[in-house]
Amino acid sequence: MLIDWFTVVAQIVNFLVLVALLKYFLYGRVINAMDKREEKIVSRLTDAEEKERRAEEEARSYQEKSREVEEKRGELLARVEEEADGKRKELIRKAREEVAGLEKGWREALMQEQDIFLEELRRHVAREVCVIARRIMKDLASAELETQVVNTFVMRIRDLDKEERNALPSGTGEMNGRLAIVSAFDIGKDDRRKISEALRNTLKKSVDLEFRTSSDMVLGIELRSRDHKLAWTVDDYLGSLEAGIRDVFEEEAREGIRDDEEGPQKT
Amino acid sequence: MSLKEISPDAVILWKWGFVHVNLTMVFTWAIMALLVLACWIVTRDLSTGTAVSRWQNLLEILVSAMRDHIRDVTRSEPGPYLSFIGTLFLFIAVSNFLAVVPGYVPPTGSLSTTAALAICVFVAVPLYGIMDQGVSGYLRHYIRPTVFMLPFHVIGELSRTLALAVRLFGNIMSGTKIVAILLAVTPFIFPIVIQALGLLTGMIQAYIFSILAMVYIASATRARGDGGTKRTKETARTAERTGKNNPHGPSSTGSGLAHQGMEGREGQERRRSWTASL
Repeated sequence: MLIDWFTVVAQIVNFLVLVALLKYFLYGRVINAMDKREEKIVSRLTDAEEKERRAEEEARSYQEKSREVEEKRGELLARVEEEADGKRKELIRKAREEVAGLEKGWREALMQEQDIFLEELRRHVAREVCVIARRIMKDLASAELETQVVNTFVMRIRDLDKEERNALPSGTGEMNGRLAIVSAFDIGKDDRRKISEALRNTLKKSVDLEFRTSSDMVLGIELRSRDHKLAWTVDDYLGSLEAGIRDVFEEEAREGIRDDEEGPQKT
Repeated sequence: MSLKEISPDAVILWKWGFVHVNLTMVFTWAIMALLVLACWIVTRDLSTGTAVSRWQNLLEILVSAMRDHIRDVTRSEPGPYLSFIGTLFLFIAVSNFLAVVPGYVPPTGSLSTTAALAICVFVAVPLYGIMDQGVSGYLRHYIRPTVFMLPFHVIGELSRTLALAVRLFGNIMSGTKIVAILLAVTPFIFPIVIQALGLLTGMIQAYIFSILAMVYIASATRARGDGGTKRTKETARTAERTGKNNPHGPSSTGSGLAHQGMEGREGQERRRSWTASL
């Protein structure tokens, strides 16, 4: 017979023993190792997912912060630019005002100096002219300059037309009806009488005259009422000289300004 | 050729009364020692990290494949069945594989061994069924759909157990005998070719035996369903047909499955793939 029942029983026992041995040495250990590895992998994957989630959250947070910082920077930059622009305009305005003030002050100082200079010049020229004229008059005509001045003033009184005569009122106010004769020099008695006669003849009435000297005048005589004045002075002649010199100064100043303005452009 | 030369059971090495030690037992012990020793060496220092040795990798692949197949067939966790089915496969496979060693006679070439394995399956089927459904639940399916089916169920169980034993014995025994005959008739190339073919047959028979055992157990457990029943039956028939088509010799057809099993669509797809491989 092909089947040996003792062998069959023995093989059943052998097989069951082998099942037990392999269950312990093979399946249990291998499955345990595989399960542990799977747990590790799952744990790592979970950790990785958690880290990835955190990283994404942090990245989003940083992006948000970066965007906010960028917006704030832009706003700050715009505000700073606006403030800088306002400050620049303010400084320019102040500088212009300062320059304008300086220029105005400089011009006023210049005009003042010019006026002082011209006044001094006028006085000096008038004195010199008087000295020269006096000397010439004396050398050529053996005459006194002051006498000639009085004569010329008397001639002007006599040459007054009707309208001018009517315009010469009598003195009022502080002069108490008197007319004032103001001169740069002391008028002698004869000359005073000449002037009085000339006025009486011209105005057809008696006038009360008050003779005074003025240090402000260089050479000349003035007849002063409250509202009118009749005069002959060398200042009238020197006025044109002063006007000419002032014109020369202004012309020079304009050329200087033009040169200053054209200078930087040429450079 | 006498009957004694057909089976290694006839070669008795030690005898005391009816107790004796024959060549089948010795080679079985050798295989057991080889398997246990190899498993002990490899699994004594298993790595649970990502760096795995080659042998550990081999064992893990082997165990994973077994679990996947069991899971496909039973549609449940493979834990309770792995030791039994896996050991069946490993024992038969190693036993058949060592046939290339000169002087070695596979224990599976002994009808006593195959009968012992078939008896184990025969006992395991109701055991797993009772563990799963209880005694009454398991016994009830013998009278389904009618009580008249009871004798057919019993005959079916017995015949398929017999078929398991005879199929494996016939294939392995015939393989070794054919090689022996060819060595005498035509030496040189042909015996080697037949030997290689015998190795292939041995592996296929190990696979068939374990898969059929699993199908029988699955049919006895609760996992069942119409589609699964159809597919399980188809799988069993395919495996039996493969055994029948073996050119080495006789094979018996099992009675198939009279019981139900359940599979999902995924399981059917997987089953189809390895059924096609057979």
